Amino acid sequence: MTPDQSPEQGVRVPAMDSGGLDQSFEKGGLVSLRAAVAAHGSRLGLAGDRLDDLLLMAHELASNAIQHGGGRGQLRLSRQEDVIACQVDDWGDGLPDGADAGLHTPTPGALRGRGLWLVRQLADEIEVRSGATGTSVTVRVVVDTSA
Amino acid sequence: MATPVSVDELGPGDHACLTFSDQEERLDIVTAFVQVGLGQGQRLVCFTEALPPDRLAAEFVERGVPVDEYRQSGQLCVRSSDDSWLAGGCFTADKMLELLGREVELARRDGYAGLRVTADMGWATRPVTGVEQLVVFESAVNQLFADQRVTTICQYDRHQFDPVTLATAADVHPCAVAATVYHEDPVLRVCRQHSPAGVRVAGEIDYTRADVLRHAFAEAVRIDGNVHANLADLRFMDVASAGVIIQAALGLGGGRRMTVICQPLVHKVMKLVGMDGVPQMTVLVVDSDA
Repeated sequence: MTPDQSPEQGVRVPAMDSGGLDQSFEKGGLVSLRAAVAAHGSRLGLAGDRLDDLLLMAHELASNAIQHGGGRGQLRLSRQEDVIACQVDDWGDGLPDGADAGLHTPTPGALRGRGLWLVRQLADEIEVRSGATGTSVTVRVVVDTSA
Repeated sequence: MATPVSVDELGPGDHACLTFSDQEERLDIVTAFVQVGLGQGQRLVCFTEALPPDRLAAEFVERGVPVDEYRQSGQLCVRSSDDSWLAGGCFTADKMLELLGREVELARRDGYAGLRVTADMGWATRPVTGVEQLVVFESAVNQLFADQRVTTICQYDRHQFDPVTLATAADVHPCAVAATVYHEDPVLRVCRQHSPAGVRVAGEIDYTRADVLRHAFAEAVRIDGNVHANLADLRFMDVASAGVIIQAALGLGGGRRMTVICQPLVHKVMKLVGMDGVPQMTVLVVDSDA
């Protein structure tokens, strides 16, 4: 799959509304990617603890793509109604456990395989699609509008 | 100026320059200087400028050095620049050297094992008469103290002094003292913390720098008793880096403990990575915008 294509199994994010983000990343680009996610997440209505969650999830997904998913990827951030979606795609060989990756609690002290597990703990909703041509993970965070 | 040394390498006769840009780091080094001196039965004189004397003493206490009894006994003396070298409103190298000479005499008379002096030189950026004698004074200190059991650290804030003055001041000192830095770039700084002993990590850290973290904490686990992980200024930490710290804590045996000071994001990652299952670990959460 070429980088300018959306992975076929991925969900096409609708045209950017205000505050959305569509950014490619590769090795060495995680610091600026995190800065962009923090800024856009804040503009999309997240703050404090939930903004931290988004930042952590975006980082772990992007670093998985860099380390195990072909070295680069694409991150999209958007809001529809009260839900913020963060989608990270890569064009690697897919996750070893496919869509079940990160379901089991890692053993204490294990250094690998914790990223996706953490993402599953923090997301309100998660979709994992993984195959031989790439991986696409979408996490959703509900914006608390009661405050 | 020679390669900077760590504060615990300073000994009698050393006249060191500390140029700093981070208050935390300055206070860490100065506290270590005070702590070592008190432990060796030396007299300590601290001239303070940025902080009032009681605030500086409180900073020592906060860093685990119970200074109150030493202040009462006279072993530790904390004085403001206004009450010491600027008393009378102007600075002369002679007046200052006389003042230090008296301190040397007092320490000897009272039977102390030596004298340690440290001074925040920030007063020299104020419009003070005679400040041009600063370099004369610093040079004279070298001669005066060379054969005495006196150890000195002069503190220069990089934000306060212009580069030329800083370079001149640094040149006059026979040695420089600095934090032991494991890693430094615009995003991340990892350095050794002296008091309490451990590691200080500031900025953002992720798996790309996990090796630096592993190295720093391995050293702390090897040489310190309890390990203090000062992550108060760490804005981001990923799962891989949190794993390194948890691993280090798990390696502490014999009742040794690790205390972690961190912001809410870091606390969250540490919890998810299994901190609660590590009995050696205690966490204190600080406000992220502190």
